[in-house]
Formats: sequence, structure tokens, C-alpha cells
Amino acid sequence: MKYLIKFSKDGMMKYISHLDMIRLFNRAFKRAGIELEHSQGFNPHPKLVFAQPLSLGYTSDCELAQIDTVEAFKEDMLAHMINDQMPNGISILSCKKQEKETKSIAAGITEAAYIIKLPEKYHISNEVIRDFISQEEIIAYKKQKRKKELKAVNIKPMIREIGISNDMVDNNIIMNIKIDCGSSSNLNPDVLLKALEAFADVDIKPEDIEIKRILLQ
Amino acid sequence: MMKDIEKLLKRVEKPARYTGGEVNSVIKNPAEADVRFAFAFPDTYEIGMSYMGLQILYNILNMQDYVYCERVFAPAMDMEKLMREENVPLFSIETKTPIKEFDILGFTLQYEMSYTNILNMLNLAGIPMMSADRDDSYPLLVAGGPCAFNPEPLTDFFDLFLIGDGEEVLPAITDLYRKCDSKKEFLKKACQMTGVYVPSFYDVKYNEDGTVAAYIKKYENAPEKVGKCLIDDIEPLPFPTKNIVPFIDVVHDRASVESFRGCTRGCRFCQAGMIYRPVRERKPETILALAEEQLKNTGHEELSLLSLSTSDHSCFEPLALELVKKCAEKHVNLSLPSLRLDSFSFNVLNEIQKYKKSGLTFAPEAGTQRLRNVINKSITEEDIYGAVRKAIELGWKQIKLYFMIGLPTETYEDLDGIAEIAKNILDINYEINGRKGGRFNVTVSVSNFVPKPHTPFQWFGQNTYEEFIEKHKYLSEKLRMKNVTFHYHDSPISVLEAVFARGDRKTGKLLVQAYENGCVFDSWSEFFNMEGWEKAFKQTGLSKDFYATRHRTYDEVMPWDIIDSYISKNFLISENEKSAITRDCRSGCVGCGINRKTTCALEGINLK
Repeated sequence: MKYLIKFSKDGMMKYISHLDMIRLFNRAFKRAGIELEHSQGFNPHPKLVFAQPLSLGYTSDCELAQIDTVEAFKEDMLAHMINDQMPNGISILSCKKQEKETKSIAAGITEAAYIIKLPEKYHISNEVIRDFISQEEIIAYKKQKRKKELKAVNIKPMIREIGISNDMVDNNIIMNIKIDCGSSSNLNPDVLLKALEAFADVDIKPEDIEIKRILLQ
Repeated sequence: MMKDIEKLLKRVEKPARYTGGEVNSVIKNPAEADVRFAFAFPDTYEIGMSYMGLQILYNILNMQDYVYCERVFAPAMDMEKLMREENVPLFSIETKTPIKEFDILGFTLQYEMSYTNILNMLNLAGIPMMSADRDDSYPLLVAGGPCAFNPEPLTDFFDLFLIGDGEEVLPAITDLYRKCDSKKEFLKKACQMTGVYVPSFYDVKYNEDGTVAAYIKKYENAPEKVGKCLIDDIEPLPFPTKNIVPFIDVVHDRASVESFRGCTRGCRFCQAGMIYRPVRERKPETILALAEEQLKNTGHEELSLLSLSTSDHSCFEPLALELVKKCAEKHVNLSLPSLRLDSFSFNVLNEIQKYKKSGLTFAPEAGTQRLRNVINKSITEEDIYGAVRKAIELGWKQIKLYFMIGLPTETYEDLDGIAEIAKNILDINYEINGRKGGRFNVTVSVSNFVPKPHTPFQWFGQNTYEEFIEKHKYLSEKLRMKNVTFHYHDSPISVLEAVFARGDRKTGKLLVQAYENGCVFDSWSEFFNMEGWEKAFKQTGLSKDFYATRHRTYDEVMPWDIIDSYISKNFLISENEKSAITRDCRSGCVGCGINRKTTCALEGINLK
């Protein structure tokens, strides 16, 4: 049976990488006694797919995973069983049964939205953002998948929305972005931020910044 | 504290090394614990979390409702740097409490080359390293584990050592601790317990040549010799079934059940084979139940049995068959290390490695039958070739061979023997698969022999570093064959291992000096700093050769003679003198002396 699981990731769990999450979920299923279907072949793998990896250090309340179980479960029951096995920082928000023919969720994802919290001292204002986004091209440097070299890319078409909230939280500004996410076009918020830092001529320390994914679809 | 740590986590590699919160990690209210115990592993999280002893003792300590045992590991270099910059002291994984605030800080001593990390962790914790400089406000420093069988290099730093099986003595120590008003009172009472060594109760007198003359007691009630803790029957001991499940990939990330403790084979170089005597088994049904419970509580995808020689369990065959069946049902990989390769083991291996045949490993340890007899390793070349033939027929493509060089009585003929074995294995493959027999590889790994305390070879002078280099060169030439890979460590680290394995109290100063010269993570080749060590030898005036390459005589007082492993010195001497095989004690008692203290359940079972 196919199920779509929605879950959140926060607290200390933001320091757990994508690969660690796969292992963590598989072990949670085993502890819960939920048997997954396995792939065929020499090296059978349990059928578990995550929609889109979340970068190390980010929190989220909208992560998606898809599983294929041997037995059928009631949606609420399944959510409850998995949630019981999760460490602090991961909560199962819902489980939805899917049709057998449902495509892999990874293929259907096109966009993601994030909230970025950063201290006022970096002076990233609405004006800065406006100037930033009105550039003809926004050049950022993305790591190549295989070669690991940095490649210059115009990321402007990948930015769907960017803006700053009027309210501040504890001397932090709140930036909202909606960007391309998925297999056909993908932008990592870190890459966008690097471009913004270069544009505004600031150097944002990684420990000053908090990023939360709030939408994945 | 938590806030300060959080700031660092975003700037380091693998932050989950420091976050805790793993499934099955123990959460208690520290305020309600009479005794707060920090279990310290002097290497990184990935290494420490692979060590089953940590899970065993963590479980036992936390079973006591008045104890809260937490973990602490050596932070990696990047984290350490940031902690020093931001003045964050060493903290526990579970509650992020500064280590200095604990009642007891217990280090496990698995390997001599982690000793500088102990000093570094104390420094990071803000705890004075010398026990004489610590008043009652600091944690009590204890250490245990195999290296505690020669505690002398660390006696300046630790308040007490626990020798032998830890499951009973550790809770006894925490219980005594909470009932005592001062460290002094505690140590005086603790030293009355078997297996507890309080080094400050002894003075060491040296001869002019630097060897030990005598141990002089400074506290009259301290024992003449400290006998090891020996638990007669491990069956009823609590064994963890709710193991902590790491988030990140660690070296051994699996469920693991200790099937038995000890080994009856009596290889003369092997310290574990001497200090963990006698063999004590768990019943197969207990092992199966523990395995099942662990898998249920952890969700691990791999299960392993833990012992010194897996197939030596007296009920191994039915046990292995049952495990193979259970694991297949649960989609769990079964790992059975150090199997003796007889036909039964092949069937099992063939079953569990169906498609993914990892290399097949043999440890002949020495290249000729003569030398194997000298070290009491009873494997013969016929055993090896018969097993290799079978393995190749079943489709194995990689054979791994482990040897030691620098063993007592070794000559270059014995090195030729190593190359000979590799060549004969290649020939067997040609014979079966033809000249173009496809991908096939023999890996020969050679390590430098380090004489260990409490073994028949404890008197032996290690080869010099130059001799090792010569032998490596010679073997590299001899093993220049197609499809043979030769591995060796061309590092003086084995010399340092020998110094600390058989070191006396003077070597503590050497350790401090090397640490001050910047030596840490010595077992990590990328951080190993021989210049720092060379300088430390000069600064302290200590000689490498005195500790490593010098042959000792039988009448010399050994620094570790203060520790009694219950193996008689006469037995060690007669084993050292022998160049023939001593039988496995399953075929009859060999007189090692352990049966003066306990009953050997497996003695002579092969005769019945």
C-alpha cells in the first residue's frame, strides 16, 4: 500500500543529514513493525522515497516521504505508529493513502517556500531586496553535481517570490522566499543567499541565520 | 550552555556527533541523581559508539536509579578549535552539562594511542590532569578496559583503575561513592574491593638501570597485588537490549550480542586470550532472545555476534542456523566475524553473503609452520589451502590474509613463507579458474608485532623501527605479484604502542610532554606527529629502546606485576620457552592457573 507521509523536522534534528534521515526512517519502521515492500534485484532496498532533501541545519514543517507497505493500515493509525518511534524533533503530521499507480512524489515537486530569519545588523532591507531582484541577471555559483566545481548560473528565473516582512522578531528580519525546487529546476536557498550577500556586500555568519521550509509542492 | 553549543554546531562537520537525543539514549533528571557519571571514550563519536562495552556499562549504570550515566567523546579537531575560541568547556552528550560538574568521570582504555586524547579532553573540560592537583571539587577520575591491565603510564592522572569485568564492580563503585564523604575515605574503602587499583597508595622504587625494584605500599590496608574482577558466569548479567541508535553513520552500526567472553586457543602474542580467561558462554537461547529484543528496539539492519572467535561457541552450529533463518525473515544482514573456515562455516557464509561476497579473511599471523607453532597459532597451510579452494569454487574473488612481523624467533625464511602462501593461493585460483580466471585478488596485510603485558611474549624486545622498515621493503619485493595487494603501516606508531603497552610510571611524564608538544589523535595517520614524540623523549630523557626493544629477563619486576590476571607467571614462562603447540584447553587443562579462581566450564569438553 502506498502512503504519503507529511512530517516536521526541528530542534536538534536539523543537524541530521538527508542520508541519516533515510536510515532513521527505515529503523523507525522496523521498530514499529511496519514492513515495507522491497525493491527487486541483488540488493533489495525498502521502498521509501523522500520528496526533496532538506539541507543540513534547516528546519521544516512540510517534509514529504512516500512508503510502500506490505500490509494496509488506517491512515491515523499508521501516523501514530510511526510517530511513536520518532526521536524528539520529528513529528508525523499526517499519513495519506495513495493509489497504487501514484507516481513518485519526487517527480511532482516544483516549488518550495522558506522563511529566513537573520539579524538586523546585516542591513538586508526591502530596498536591498528590491534592487537585488531588479537586476537583469542574478549570477550565483552552484556546485556541479559530479565535478564539484562552481559554475556561474543566472538564478533570477528560479526565484518566484522574495520579500521581507514588516515585523521583526527579536531584532531579526524575516525574509520570505518561494523558489524552484525539484528535478527539472532547483535552487538551494544557500545559493540564493550567497548571491544576496555578494550583492549587498555583507558576510553573513552561518550561525546567525535560521532557515525553515514552510512549503513543498 | 545549550545556546553556546548551538552557535558552534552550524560551523562544524557532522554536528550530530554532539547533539545527542538518539533513540534509546537515556533521559533522567540530573537533579534527582545522587551520582552523575560521565562515560568517556577518548576518540570521536563514530569510534566510541561502535564500542559495545559502552552500551553494556551505560545500560548497567543507568539501571541504578540513583545514577545518571551520560556519554562524552573526544570532539573532532574542528569542534575543538571552536570550543577553545568560544570558551565552551567539554560537555556531556545527553544534557550538555560541563564535564567538570560530574561526580565521576570514567574513561575506557581500548588503545594506548588514545592516551593523549585523554589529556586533551581533561584540558578541554578544565580539569587538572594530575590527580595530585585535584581536590574534592573535581570529578573522581576512573579508568577501565583492556589497557588498564598495565595502568602504570596513566597513574599520575587517574584516581583509580578498575581491572577486569566491569559489570559488577562499576555499580559497586558508584554505590560506595555516594556513601562516602570524601575522596580520601572513598579511595581507602574502594581499594579493598577486588579489581580496584588506587595508584596513589603505592610508591615505586627503581633500580639504577631504570627497571622497577619494588612497589612500596603507602597505605597499609592496600592489597599487595590487585586481582582482576572475574565474573564466573556471564549468563545472568544484564545485557543491553535497548541500545542507543546513532543518527550518523558510525564504524559498527548494528545490533550486537556477546556470545562468549574469553578464548581457549592460547595464542602466545594475544593479550585478550590471556586476560579474559576463562571462556564463559551465553546460552544459545539467551543469545537469540537478546538479538531479537535488540533488533525490535533498535530497528537495526545488521546483527553481529561479539566474541574473540565466533565459531568456538560450543553450540555454534545450531545457533548460527537459527540466526540465519531469523535474519532472513526480518531483512536483517547477519555478520559473523572471525569464523573458522570449516565446511559448516562455508555453508553459513554462502547463505548470508549470497550475492555480496565480501572478501574471505584468514589470519595465519606467521608465514611458516615453525613460527606458527612458536606463537601457538594452530592453523596449518592445509587448512588454509583447503578453505581457499572451497571458497574459490563457491565464487569468492577476494582472499585477505593477516600476518604479523617481528614475532619472536622470526627469520627472513618466515617472511618468504608469507609470499609463498600468497603465491600458492594465486595458483589455486589459476588451477580452478584458468590463467584468465578473471578478477581475483589476494590482499596481504602485515602489522608490526607489539609485545603485550600479561602474555608469554611480555619479556620480548620488539624489533627496531629500522628492522620493521627492512622487513617491509623485503616483503614489498617478494609480494610484487600480479593480483596481490600488500598493505603495511610504515609508521613508528608501533614503537610508541610498545612503549605504552609495557610502560612504567615514568612514561606518564612522556605522555604529558608529548601532549604539550601538540600530539593528539595519534591513531589518526593525518594527525600523527612523530616529531612531537621524538622531542618528548629528548625532553624527558626517556629511552624508546628501554621500553620497546629491550629484552627483559624473567627475574625483572614488571610494572604491571601489581596487577594479577590470575594467569601464573610460570605458565607464561613455560609458554614463552615452548616452540611447539600447546593444546586448546577444551582438550584438557593446560595449567594456566585461572582455575585457582574459578571453574572452567569448557575445560576438557572435547574429551567427553
